Amino acid sequence: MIIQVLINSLIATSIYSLITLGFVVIYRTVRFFHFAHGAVYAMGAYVAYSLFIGAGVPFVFALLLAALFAGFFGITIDRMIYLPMRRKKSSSLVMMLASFGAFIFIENLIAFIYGNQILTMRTGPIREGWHVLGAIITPIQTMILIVANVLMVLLWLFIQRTKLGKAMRAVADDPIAASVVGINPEKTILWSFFIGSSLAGIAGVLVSLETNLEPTMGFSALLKGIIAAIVGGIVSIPGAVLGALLLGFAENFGIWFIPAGWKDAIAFAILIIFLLFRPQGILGVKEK
Amino acid sequence: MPILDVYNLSKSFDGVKAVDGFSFALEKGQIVALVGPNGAGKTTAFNIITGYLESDQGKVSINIHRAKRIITGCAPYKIARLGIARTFQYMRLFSQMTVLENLLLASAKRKHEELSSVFFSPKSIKQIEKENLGRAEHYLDFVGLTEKRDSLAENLSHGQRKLLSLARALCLEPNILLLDEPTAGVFLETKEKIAGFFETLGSQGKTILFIEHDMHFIMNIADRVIVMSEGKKLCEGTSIEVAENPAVIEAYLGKKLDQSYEKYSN
Amino acid sequence: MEYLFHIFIIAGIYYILALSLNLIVGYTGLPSLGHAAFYCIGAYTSSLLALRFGVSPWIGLLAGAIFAAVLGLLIGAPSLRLKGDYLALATFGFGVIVYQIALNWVSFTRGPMGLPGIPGYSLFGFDLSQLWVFLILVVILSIACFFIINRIVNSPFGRVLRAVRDDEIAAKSLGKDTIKYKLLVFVIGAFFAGIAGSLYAHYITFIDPSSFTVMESVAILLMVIFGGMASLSGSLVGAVVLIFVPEILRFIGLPSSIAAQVRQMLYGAILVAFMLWRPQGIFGKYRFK
Repeated sequence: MIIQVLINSLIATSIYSLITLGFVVIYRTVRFFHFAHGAVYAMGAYVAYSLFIGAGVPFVFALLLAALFAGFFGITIDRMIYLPMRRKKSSSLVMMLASFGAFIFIENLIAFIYGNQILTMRTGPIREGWHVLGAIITPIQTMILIVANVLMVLLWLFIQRTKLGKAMRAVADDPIAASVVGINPEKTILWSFFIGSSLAGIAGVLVSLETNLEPTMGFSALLKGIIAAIVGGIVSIPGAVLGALLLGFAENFGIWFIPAGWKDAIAFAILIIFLLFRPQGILGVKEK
Repeated sequence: MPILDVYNLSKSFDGVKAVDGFSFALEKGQIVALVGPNGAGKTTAFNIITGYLESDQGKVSINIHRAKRIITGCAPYKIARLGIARTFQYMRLFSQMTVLENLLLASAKRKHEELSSVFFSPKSIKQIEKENLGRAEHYLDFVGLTEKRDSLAENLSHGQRKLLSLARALCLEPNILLLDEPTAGVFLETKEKIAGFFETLGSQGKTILFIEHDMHFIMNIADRVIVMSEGKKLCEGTSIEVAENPAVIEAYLGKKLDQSYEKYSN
Repeated sequence: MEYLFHIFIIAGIYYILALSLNLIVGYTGLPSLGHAAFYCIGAYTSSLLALRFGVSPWIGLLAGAIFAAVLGLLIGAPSLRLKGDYLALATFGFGVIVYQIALNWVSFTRGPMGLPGIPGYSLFGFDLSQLWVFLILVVILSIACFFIINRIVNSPFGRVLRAVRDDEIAAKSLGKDTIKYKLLVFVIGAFFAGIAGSLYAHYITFIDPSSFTVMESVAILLMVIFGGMASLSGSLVGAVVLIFVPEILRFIGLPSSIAAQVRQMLYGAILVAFMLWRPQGIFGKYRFK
């Protein structure tokens, strides 16, 4: 029984990690809460649906195209909405509100286009899972685990080893100093939106394999992402994974003790506690 | 008994000591200048004294109306209520409010600003408001901003904002005035105006501690000068004593004057 | 005609909500994103008192407002220490928590099944639930709310609020206990939102958690932003426009679910547009810095 919960926790963690990592990568360079991230996540899922179920595109290509679409979609949001606001030196609060507006617009646009009903990504019969240590894990779940974790490792290597990754770290740390050494902050922001949004899109697709699509899927994903990010450390990449881990495990082990309906309330209570007492998160550093 | 007593103040940020064992005392009716190179810790000291920053060490106490009171760690609004008014380097005016409103807010009495006074305004409340208006107009006139009274603070020139900032602190009619760079960036004629105000305030027996960089301004105004460098008090004395102190010169120029001449002597 | 009365009543209720939020957001500069929580408490308190204990809706009106004010104190006390987007996030979180409690505490609130059969108002035995009569009630109450809030913001107390909004550090240097002012204004705003909640409950006679979601908080905020921050007449414009325009959509024959989506898209687009181009709103005198 514990093994099953453990497996479920790991799967939840993997997905939350992708969402949260995308959110954090973006936050580090723009320093405001990009609420529209949840809409990008949903977009990824729906685009993959249209390609895979609607147009019969092989799943792998649908996933890749959806990821690319999500990446460009994120960039579009930045260029159209955030960039002009950056030029006007709008505060992070104003940008967060605009982001929220964008989220509402996109989420309802999806509902408008695809309808309110639940859609499913399944094409064949439900495949039976493998037995592992007394628990069951399905091929889809296995794929989710593999894809998510491979992506996380790739992201880590990218941030640590590549020139662009280092540039992103520099801008995250100190945008002015970064521009002094010749790094173009706007270009870096562009890349962080592309990468962060692609991750969100992929997460959306993976989730829809397990739990189907509905237009409001972006909202709860976004909230989980924000909570995990703040708990782990809003500017910390390992923090994002840590937050996702804590959230994933707390949720799945928590169902033992608390009725499922209270999950969101408790997650938000934890968010508020962190905002009040440790806004920098577990792995974050206190900002002056 | 000094009206303001600062003892052994220390404050570090990320391991850097911004203020290091800083002590001084202010006597009632004195006009004292706090000088030092940029980054010496002057504004940090101000912020600790007025409660905006918590010191790692040290004690600040005031002695007003023969009652001694330790104010270290008190909230800024409480310290203000004890009669210590301050200005800020970046002025912090209420930019979207008029000049007059900025001054109306500088009132030592607070009964009229309570929620109850919104609905129950007996004569006493109206009286307070009338007094506030009179006082505001008085200080508007004192600094020469009467014709700007209905302008928005954000529409004033830099010099006018410095004057408003000063007027607002004065309007509180405090026991101690802490002014952070009252003449920074103003034209000469405004500077001379402010120097005149200082003289008037001095003759009225007000206690003023001000941060300043203009030595000439200080020469004519300050009774005493405290020099701060790298968080510590370097020396203290009259403006002449301080200006001739070699340690002070070194702090400002970064090297001994003799050495800098050596380079060119051969 | 009846339909028109209904829209006006709803607009009137939202006007009270917008006024109460404008006090917090527009005049004091506090980004409060969970205002629907107070609306919710007012509605549920009044309804439960009437349904469970037969309390008169008039008393429920006051009780709902008081309970909402208490919630305002509970939420404000921790949250108002935060600034800017963190305050927004915390109040947002509290909004979600209150909604979740209404949704999940089924034994108390009947959760998603809601509370049906809420009694209407009556005066001296005279039933006030006819639409045009209720409209008069709403108009009287909204004028009263306007009157009170208008007095608050134009008083020396209100001047301190604007000072807190403009520069809290400077306000402290003048001896103002800014935390107390922020808390007071939050509680007052919550109080009036509670009144709106009670009105709504006894008008619609059925409430369920779906009327008090996060989107509701956003809609109210949007009315404040649209009409104008720190403009009480602007809030009227905001409430009327943002209630009427979506109704027009329904009127022109769009099916209900599509109309809801288009309305939300409109709200989202308006929010983005105003943040981009006119953050102070149409008649506003203040914008989030």
